[in-house]
Amino acid sequence: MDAVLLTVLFVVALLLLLGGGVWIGVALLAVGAFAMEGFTARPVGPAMATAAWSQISSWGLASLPLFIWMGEILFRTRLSRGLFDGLAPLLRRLPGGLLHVNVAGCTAFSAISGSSAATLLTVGKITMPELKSRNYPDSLVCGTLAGAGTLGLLIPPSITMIIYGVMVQESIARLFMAGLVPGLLLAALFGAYILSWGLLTRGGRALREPKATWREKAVGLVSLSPVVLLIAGVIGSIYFGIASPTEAAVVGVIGALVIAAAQGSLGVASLRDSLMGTVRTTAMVTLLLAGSAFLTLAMGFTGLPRTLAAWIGEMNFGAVELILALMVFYVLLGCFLDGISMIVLTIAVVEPLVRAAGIDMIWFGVFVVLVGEMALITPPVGFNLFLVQGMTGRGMGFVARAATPMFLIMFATVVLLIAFPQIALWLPEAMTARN
Amino acid sequence: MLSRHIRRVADGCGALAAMAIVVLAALVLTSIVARLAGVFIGGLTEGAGYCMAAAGALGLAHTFLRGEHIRVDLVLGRLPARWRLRVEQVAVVISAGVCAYMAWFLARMVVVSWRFGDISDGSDALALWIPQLPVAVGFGVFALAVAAAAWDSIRTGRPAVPEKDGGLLDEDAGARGARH
Repeated sequence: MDAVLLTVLFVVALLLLLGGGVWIGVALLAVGAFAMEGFTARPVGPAMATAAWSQISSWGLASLPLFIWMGEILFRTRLSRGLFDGLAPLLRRLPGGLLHVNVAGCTAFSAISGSSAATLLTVGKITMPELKSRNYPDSLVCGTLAGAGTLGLLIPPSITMIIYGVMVQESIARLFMAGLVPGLLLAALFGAYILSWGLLTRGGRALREPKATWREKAVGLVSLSPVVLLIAGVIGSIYFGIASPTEAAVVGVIGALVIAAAQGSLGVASLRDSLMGTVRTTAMVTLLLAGSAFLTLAMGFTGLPRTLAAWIGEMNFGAVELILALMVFYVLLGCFLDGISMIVLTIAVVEPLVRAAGIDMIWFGVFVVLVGEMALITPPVGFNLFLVQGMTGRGMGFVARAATPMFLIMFATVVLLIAFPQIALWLPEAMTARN
Repeated sequence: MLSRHIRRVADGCGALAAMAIVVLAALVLTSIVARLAGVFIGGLTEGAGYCMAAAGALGLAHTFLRGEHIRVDLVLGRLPARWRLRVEQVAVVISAGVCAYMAWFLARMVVVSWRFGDISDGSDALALWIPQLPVAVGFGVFALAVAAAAWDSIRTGRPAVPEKDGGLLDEDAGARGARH
């Protein structure tokens, strides 16, 4: 059968299932079964069971529940208060004042939590009331929080990176390192935006915070130290090759438990809640991964990705054109889906295309996660927009407009990443060279 | 009532999943300590992977009943209530079928592993049916929970899809649209 017709058929089947409200993982299983049953002679059931089993029982994926658990424990501590008290004296004198705490807080918290939602909620629940009581403009408060809240996807440890790494069978340690510099670059650009608002607008110039005393700064540094130690322990041990991501994750869990115990916020109830929250996120990811593993296998049997890759090769489509086309495609898709769903839905077809074009899969991981971050703040379905909307009570339109500058900054970062792939690849190469 | 028993079984499996995560952490910790002490203990990495699979699969039904599996409800949200109910019932029936199919073949995989005495590739040489069993059970209970939700909805005319309640990401009502 014609490859184009086949593609259209599968896409329509998928859209019907998804639009009808079938869970994404289940829809992927169904489309895979349909493709394999209808267009290959192989038995479907055993392939489905084996694909799911081997995908979800891997050592690399074992880091996922641990990093989620770490974030769940820290979410229930008073760590966010400490983060604010520590960062505010250090940053508030800068033009743009306490808005920088939104960005710096999200950056720091995303380095100890794999989830962007946990990052946004943890930082926002402290900064939101503080910033509002000091009359910072709502649009900037909402926009910077929604934008910086996406950093959890890129800065290690990142759930999305683990899922991508398991699906395309690339080293999770290298992916983590590849995401670090682009994540920090993005955070710096957000900071630069706030800085220029503070310098260039009249409202911004009027809002200058008092200078912090040395004593305040010292107290601040002390309250930041648990977070800094945890970040250094987790990311440092991966970079220096002391620990694999899964091992670093368990060290992170223990660190989180120690912090919680030291603050006296480690009770039986909160421990149980944190574990059950971890179970739910893990199960949610498991269903997605089982579905996408089987769809990838089924698509491979139909030969469709190979045909598409050959077709793109014949069109003399270069790597850059492919990336630009995928960027447009993912940004559109991101209006309706979150980053993880976007990746699991498309990887069966996109991975062979990208590999055939000779694109580095580590670089592509950073690219796709960054574009997935943009999906979090694009209306009508943007998870961070929903979260900020819930926190502030402002309308969806207002929050989406407030986040638009952040979206443009992310877009510029993607362009930078395409123009200078070394932004992502430098650190993993340095890590390989030293270990 | 059917669904109350299902709920109890699903939450029980969820508790087992939580235990699997604790065991997973303990296994990884043991491997770190063993390596620092210069001792080699085989099978810890495989064991961690098996715990991951068990945790993910056993948690499926519990997660379903809390409405935390991801789906797209952009289209559904715009349908009139009666239409929405019908479409959702069809979606839940299809999902129950797919999950049952998956669970059936996972169960067959366990039986095949058991009958042929398959062992793991790793240094543990563990009989593979043991770690595969919780995965098959997890998907089986998940299929039952989805089927029960479909049956209840068709019988009573109430919404087929459990509403999300509580949990880390739902402090704010605004989170609702995106996740379930």
